[in-house]
Amino acid sequence: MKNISIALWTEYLKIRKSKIFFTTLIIFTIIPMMIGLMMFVSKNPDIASKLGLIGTKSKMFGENDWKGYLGLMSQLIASIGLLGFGFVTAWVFGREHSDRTMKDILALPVGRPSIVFAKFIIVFLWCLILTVVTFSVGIIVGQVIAIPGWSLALFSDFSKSFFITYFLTLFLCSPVAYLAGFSRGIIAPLGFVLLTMIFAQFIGLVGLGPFFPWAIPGLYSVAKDEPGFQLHLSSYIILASTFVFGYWATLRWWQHADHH
Amino acid sequence: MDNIITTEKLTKKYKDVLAVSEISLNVRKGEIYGFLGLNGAGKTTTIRMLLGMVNPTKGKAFINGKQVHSGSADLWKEIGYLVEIPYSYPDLTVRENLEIIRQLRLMNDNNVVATIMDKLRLTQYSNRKAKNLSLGNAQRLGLAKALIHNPKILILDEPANGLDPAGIYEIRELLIDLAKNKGVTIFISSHILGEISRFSTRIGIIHDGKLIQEINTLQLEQLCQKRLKINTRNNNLAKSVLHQSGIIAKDTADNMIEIENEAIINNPESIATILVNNQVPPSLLNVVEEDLESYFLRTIGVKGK
Repeated sequence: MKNISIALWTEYLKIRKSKIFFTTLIIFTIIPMMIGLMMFVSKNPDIASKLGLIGTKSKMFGENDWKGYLGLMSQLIASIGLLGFGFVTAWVFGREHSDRTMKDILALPVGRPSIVFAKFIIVFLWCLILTVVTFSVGIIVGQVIAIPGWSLALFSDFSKSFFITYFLTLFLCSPVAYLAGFSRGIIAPLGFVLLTMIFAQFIGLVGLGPFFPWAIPGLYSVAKDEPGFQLHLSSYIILASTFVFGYWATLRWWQHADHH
Repeated sequence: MDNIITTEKLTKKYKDVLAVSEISLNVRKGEIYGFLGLNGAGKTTTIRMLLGMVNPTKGKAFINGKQVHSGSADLWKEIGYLVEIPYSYPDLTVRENLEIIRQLRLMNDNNVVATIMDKLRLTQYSNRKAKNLSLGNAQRLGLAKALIHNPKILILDEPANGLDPAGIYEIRELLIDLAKNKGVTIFISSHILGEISRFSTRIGIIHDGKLIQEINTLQLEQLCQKRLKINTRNNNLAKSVLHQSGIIAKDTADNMIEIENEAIINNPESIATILVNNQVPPSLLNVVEEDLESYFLRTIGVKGK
């Protein structure tokens, strides 16, 4: 446990001193603000008609109320989260290769499994911070632009759905971590994340989304009662298995691969 | 137990490339073992196998009698290492980079960072980000990471890279002090025999993945070839005269003649006597010793006689 906490501290220091952390914070702050802006435009058709394209796109809310707004926010964390969390994971694991510091942390008393575990913890915490920021900014912006239809019950349901979606999306980080090691960098895992996002769309369209790990958080965040969108117990088992397999592969790679 | 580092037929093969072939060596306590080879000879692969970073295809490596493998976490407490060009976290300062290594080495003493910075003259750069360091100072930072815990065993891959002559001298003196006075066992790779022979107690020469020679540094001078270079007004006549006395002389590239016979080289005045008596007095008689780089290149077969 001591080794893990030490490794965690070093990972924290690396992140705190990097520009990437603050960049992701800014991005995850701007995104809910943009959605708030679109809601504002949607609520005010006179402005929407003057803005043309943005006015059309803002119809994605359906009803211009908190329900539509929060629904989109939930989908946001599933899609942007998949990309954002994937980027965070790729960076945390891949930077040791791009900075060429990998060899410095391979033969140390703290042990490789502790470093891998600490990296996953830091990914979870980093992504949690991004989620909380997105959530908070989204709620504040919604209040500022005075979206109608607010209720405590709606807020409670949304909070639960939002953070469960965050949690489910996290399960998809471990294959990215493995790829960062296997490809010795950041680009390949990012490409993988983009590919899975595209596949998730297609596989979702043909109704197999509940069995495709990368579509599951997205399906959880949308209407759950429609056919082809319903998650089963097997969906959660598939998601958990994906994480376990990815973690195992990452650990195995760190411990047994040839590190050049 | 005297042997600190031992390898038994250590081999690494990548598909069709035999990077390291059946290397067996022993490094004793307090010894500075120079591991010499050209770029691509297999030095770094061997070092990575000693550090559990690369898995041997065949053979074993032992440090302090324990077999090396990737999970040898306890073993790494006693080892300091530097592999190839040292890199550090670019956005962290020198102090922070060392602090990370201090923590990951499970050291409780906060003062070790200041001490090692002082020892490697990095104190004035302690708050400078690693990405803004000169090549020489980045190398010092790499060495500081290797030495921060006062290891009993040091495994260094080309540690003099990027250092200026004063820095090379400083590091050499530091390593000699560690080995002589603190009993630290040092395994150090280089591609420059002249440099490594100045402080190594033993040298292993690796070429094309094979350990082709192991020599004590004290023997090195004896192994370097000597030649007696001769110049006269008529070198052809001189050669003929010497031949009649049973001495073989060869032409050299600079239009002189030379003799490789050891007995003659140790007694050059006998040649002078023969030449003078046959009316071809020498204008030059010079015993030329092969330099270390020539010896190294001749040993690995890159440079002929």
